[in-house]
Amino acid sequence: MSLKLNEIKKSYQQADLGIEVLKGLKAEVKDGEVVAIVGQSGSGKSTLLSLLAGLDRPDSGSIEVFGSEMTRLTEEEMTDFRARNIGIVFQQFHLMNHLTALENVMLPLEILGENEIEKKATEMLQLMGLGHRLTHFPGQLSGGECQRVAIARALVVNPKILLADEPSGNLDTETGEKVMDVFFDAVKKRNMTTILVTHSEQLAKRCDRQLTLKLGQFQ
Amino acid sequence: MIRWIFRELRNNKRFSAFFILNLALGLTGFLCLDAFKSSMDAALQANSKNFLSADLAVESRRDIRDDEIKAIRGKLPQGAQEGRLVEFFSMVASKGGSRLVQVKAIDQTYPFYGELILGSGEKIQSTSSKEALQQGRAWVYPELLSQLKLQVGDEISIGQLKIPIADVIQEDSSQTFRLSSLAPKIYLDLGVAQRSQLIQFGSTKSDVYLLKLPAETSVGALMAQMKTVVPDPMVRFEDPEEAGEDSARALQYLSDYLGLVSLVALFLASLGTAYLYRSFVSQRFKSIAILNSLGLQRSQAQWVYIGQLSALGLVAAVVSLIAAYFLLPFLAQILRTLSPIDIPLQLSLKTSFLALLMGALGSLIVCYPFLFPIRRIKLSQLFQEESQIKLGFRWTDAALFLPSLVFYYVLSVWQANSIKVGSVFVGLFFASLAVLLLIGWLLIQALKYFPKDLLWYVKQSLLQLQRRPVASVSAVVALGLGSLLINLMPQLKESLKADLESPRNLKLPSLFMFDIQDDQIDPLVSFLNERNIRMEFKSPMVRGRILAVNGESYERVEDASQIQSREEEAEVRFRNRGVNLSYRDQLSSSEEIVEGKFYEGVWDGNTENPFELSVEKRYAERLNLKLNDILLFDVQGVEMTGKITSFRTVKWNSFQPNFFILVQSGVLEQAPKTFLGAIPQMQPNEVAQIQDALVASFPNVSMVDVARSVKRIFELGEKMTWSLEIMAALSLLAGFVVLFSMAQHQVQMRRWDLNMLKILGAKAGDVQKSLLIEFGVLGLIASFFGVTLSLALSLILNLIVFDGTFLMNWKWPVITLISVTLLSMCLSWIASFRWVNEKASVILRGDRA
Repeated sequence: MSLKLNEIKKSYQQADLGIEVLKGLKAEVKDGEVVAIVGQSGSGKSTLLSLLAGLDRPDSGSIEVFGSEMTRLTEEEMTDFRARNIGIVFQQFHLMNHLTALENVMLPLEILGENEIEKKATEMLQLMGLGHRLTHFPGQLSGGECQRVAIARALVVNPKILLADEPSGNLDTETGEKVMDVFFDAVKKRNMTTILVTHSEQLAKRCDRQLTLKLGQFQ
Repeated sequence: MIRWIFRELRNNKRFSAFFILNLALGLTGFLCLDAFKSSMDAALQANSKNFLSADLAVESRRDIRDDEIKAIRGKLPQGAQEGRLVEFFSMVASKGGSRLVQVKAIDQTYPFYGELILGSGEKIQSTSSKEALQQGRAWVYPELLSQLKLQVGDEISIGQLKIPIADVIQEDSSQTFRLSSLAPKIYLDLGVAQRSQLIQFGSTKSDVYLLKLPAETSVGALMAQMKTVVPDPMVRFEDPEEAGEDSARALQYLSDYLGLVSLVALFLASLGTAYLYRSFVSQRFKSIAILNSLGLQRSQAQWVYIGQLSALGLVAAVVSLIAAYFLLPFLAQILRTLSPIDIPLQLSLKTSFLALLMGALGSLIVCYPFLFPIRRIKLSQLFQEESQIKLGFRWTDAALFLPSLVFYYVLSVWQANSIKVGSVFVGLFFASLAVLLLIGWLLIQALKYFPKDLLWYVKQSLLQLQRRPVASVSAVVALGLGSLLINLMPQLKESLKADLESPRNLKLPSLFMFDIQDDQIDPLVSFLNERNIRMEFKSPMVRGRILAVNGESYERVEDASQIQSREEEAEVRFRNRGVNLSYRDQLSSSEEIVEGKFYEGVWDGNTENPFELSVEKRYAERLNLKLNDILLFDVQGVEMTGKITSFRTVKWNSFQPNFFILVQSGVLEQAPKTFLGAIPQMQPNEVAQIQDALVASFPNVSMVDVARSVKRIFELGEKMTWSLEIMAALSLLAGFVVLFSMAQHQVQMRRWDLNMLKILGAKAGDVQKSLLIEFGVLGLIASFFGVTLSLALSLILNLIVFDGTFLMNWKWPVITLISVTLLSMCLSWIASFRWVNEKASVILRGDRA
């Protein structure tokens, strides 16, 4: 089992009002499984992603990743754990505008202090069909290309789990489909456990399983 | 539209606050200076009659002749009163030693205006009794008592006279802002002074007729009439306004230069404001396009932003007025150490209006170039994928900065009161700016070549610097200029001090002697020889005046209202003065011929050829004299013609007797003259002994203790430069506010990048380190080149302008380098702390702006 959620609860304080966003979530994801999480806006998808990425902590419950209880890690351990094991792809790409495509993909490797950084990053971008765009800045790339760079950046450290937040949400249908082809191809080849948050029925259908989040619980 | 203007500003509080802070900081220095200037002008106006102690003064360095007095009297209106005053230098001897003093010998009518307040509390006005003086006693300035360890009632010797001190002068309304006064004043009765035989032929003195005129008299018209009957420019006519101007010249120069330094602060503030505004408005292009699509005209959109700029500028002006209101009392304290009269500093209506105008108009002029491209927004850009609309830079946009440059140039000339100084300032300023821009740009480009195997956060810092060149170069310029200014003053001071204490290749004498009579020179030399002291630089001095240059009459400038700048003012002053001539066969060690050939041999009076002249170069420049010009002199009634055959430079701070014009031998030997001379370097106690002995034997010979004078000049200079240093610090502060604004803005812009780094596994500490390194490198580059430029500038100024030596002060460059770098890091830390330590999960909730 690569991912296990045990009774996850999370609430936020808004003014004097406590809003319970996640109300005791339970789920298990197998190795290499691609799971789609669908739900309406405000259903708690982003909160769940931020807990899975270790960017936030649940009020109660635990998250196990490959047998290690993530919620017990200290802040520093969590940062290190995330860097080595979790890749994230955002709807807004979140590329560094002052870095070239290649430099963006090299960045996580540099932070981890890996070897042969440039070679690995170049190979990854070539795999994404961007071998001719290595020295281009995000401002010089199309939306689809930017998202492919973002996917390459997430995959280049070979994470055990990939989290994707509406990866085609900012792209037109045709480009979105092409990008998702590359995405699915990459995760399948690597047998990578993937959690994909999406509004798109079509995209959700391409996943191994769908979990619908409604009012803070899986339906 | 007004609602829009304020709604957007309200929604962008941080931008509005920093915009106002930046602009207000620049304006504050400027306004304080304007308040200083207008208060000083008001004080001069209010006290001008007191400075002159009359409605009109007729003054000359020679005796005003009887025929001239008669001519002046002929023009006086009914009811006018006359008084006379003679001022001269003399030595005072006492049990506590001897000192050079400035004697003011007055008659019964002095002063027509103002008063002297004595230690006893007695107020001396025109009608007051001056019985103490008539009895042969003196009123003295308090510093003479402290210098010679004297008390009221003690006796001092002036010439042959033994004079008891009757009282001490606590306040003297005729005391001016002159900073050059090296000797304390002493008041004597005119009759007593004349009897003392101190005032001899050639003594350095001023003969002054003071006139009190009926209230309805037009002083200007009367002065013009008097000048026609007394054409000799050696006789000067001075009204109260001129006296005020004259007396405050040093302070006026100081305020001119302070004004220029305050302009640097204003420029840096404008730079910060422009930077902030550029970022603000470029993020709004998309909103403008959307509003445009909803029916808003682009010109209307421009008006919204023009309205915002004016509103922000006005608020900044109000803030700066409030800041200036609280700063003025501190400025007044500084001024008190420089000025003998109390100048109440206050913000006038004119200053307040100027602040509002500069705030509203200045912000528009500086920021309008960033608004102009709004016209280029195309609605079609809304259909593109980018989250922001980018309009790009066109070279024609650069022309929009022209009004800012013209505005700045006009401000500089206005502040300096001189086209020349203003232009030189703007030239040097923009040259420094260009150098800093170029260096900043080149260095940032050079960062491309840094090694690839650096720690990731070091690499990121350098990449940020390189890939955001506008922000990096702006910060380098802001901090570089601040560092330049803050370091320039101490550098200049160090070199000037060294040069003053020990001029290049020259040894300063211990005593400088003047007013030595012709018949005293041999006894004086023997007197010194008996004590194994050699008299140095024995120089004759003959008074004369220039009557014509190349046959054209060299008349006085009649209309002072035509004087527009400090340079013209200085030229008129020089023109209206007589000239001291001397002769020697060889140049002294402090002189050097720079053009032409120094005369040789003795002039043959039997030929038609004019004698040869060597003229000091700057004096020649001021009077517009050229090589081979023919000058006609009046030397005590005798007309003689000379030709300029060489120009010389003179090291005036050598304290050697030097002259603007040297005349070939064989011309002036028979003319009535006095001598100047010097006594070589000795131990301080020996100097005091020989000075006391000389005063006892040659009471009319005046002596300047060179070491003490150098110290005094430096103390006065220190006071003047202190205020300049404060203004330079304000500029550096403006530079730091610019940096802080940039750091804030940069970090805010990079908020998502910083969070992304944390998501990718970077520790918050490493992210912070990356920012610290980035801003530390910026601070280091900026301060290094700012300091280097300041050293180059002080080298140029010392060697070329001041013609002195250059001595490097290591302390300040090192302090500037370290403190600017550390402060940059601290500011970036403060600016980024909040963003660096926020939870990275916001990236999943927020929308990238």
